[in-house]
Amino acid sequence: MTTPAADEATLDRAVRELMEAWAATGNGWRDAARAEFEREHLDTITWRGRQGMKALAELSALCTEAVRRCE
Amino acid sequence: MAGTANLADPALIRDFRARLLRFQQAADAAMAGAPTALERSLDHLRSELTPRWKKELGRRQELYTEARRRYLEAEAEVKANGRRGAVDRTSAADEQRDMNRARRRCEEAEEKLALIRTWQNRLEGDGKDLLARCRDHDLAIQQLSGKALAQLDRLADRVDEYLQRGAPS
Repeated sequence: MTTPAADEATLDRAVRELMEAWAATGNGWRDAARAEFEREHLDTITWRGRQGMKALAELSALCTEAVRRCE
Repeated sequence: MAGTANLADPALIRDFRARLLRFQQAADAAMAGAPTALERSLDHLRSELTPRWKKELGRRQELYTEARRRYLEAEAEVKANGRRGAVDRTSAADEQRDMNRARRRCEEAEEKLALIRTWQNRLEGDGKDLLARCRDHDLAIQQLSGKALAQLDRLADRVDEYLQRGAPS
């Protein structure tokens, strides 16, 4: 069973690995199609990933604080 | 699409497609745990802390009742001794202090129960709003990734076709 903090870390790692993999494609792929893909797809996906991380972090903090204050 | 991918090996696109698919799965798995985590915290407050503090309040109320009985007895004894001119008990201050302490401990338990209700409401309100945000982002990631994967397939296929036709020298 995972916690929101662990899930946030998993998502953080997934976003970073995706961006690293994307950067690596730049060594052999440099054209308008790549730039368009980045603009039309990847930027939004990674933005959503980061917003999801923020929501998980807030949820984690809320759950931890609730239990800590009420013990 | 603005132009055709200009690269020697479509495997580059397909490798990245595999990474994007892994990201999509990892994001979904990460978000999937959020409802359980919230429910676990709510359940801890509802099923463990609330009964624990209710029981503790009951115990403290019994102690307060006993402390109050001892104080009233002591006070009655002081008054009776005063009327008789006896000096073996001149004050019920110790019993009164114990009673006040017992009452404060009851109030602390009542405050704790109120705090648990407050946090339960916060988890049910703010927590569920955050959960909805997590779900929205997860859904968006799944949909956007699906479209991006399809786009990468199209790009790789176009490069294949381009290479099969023979790149212009």
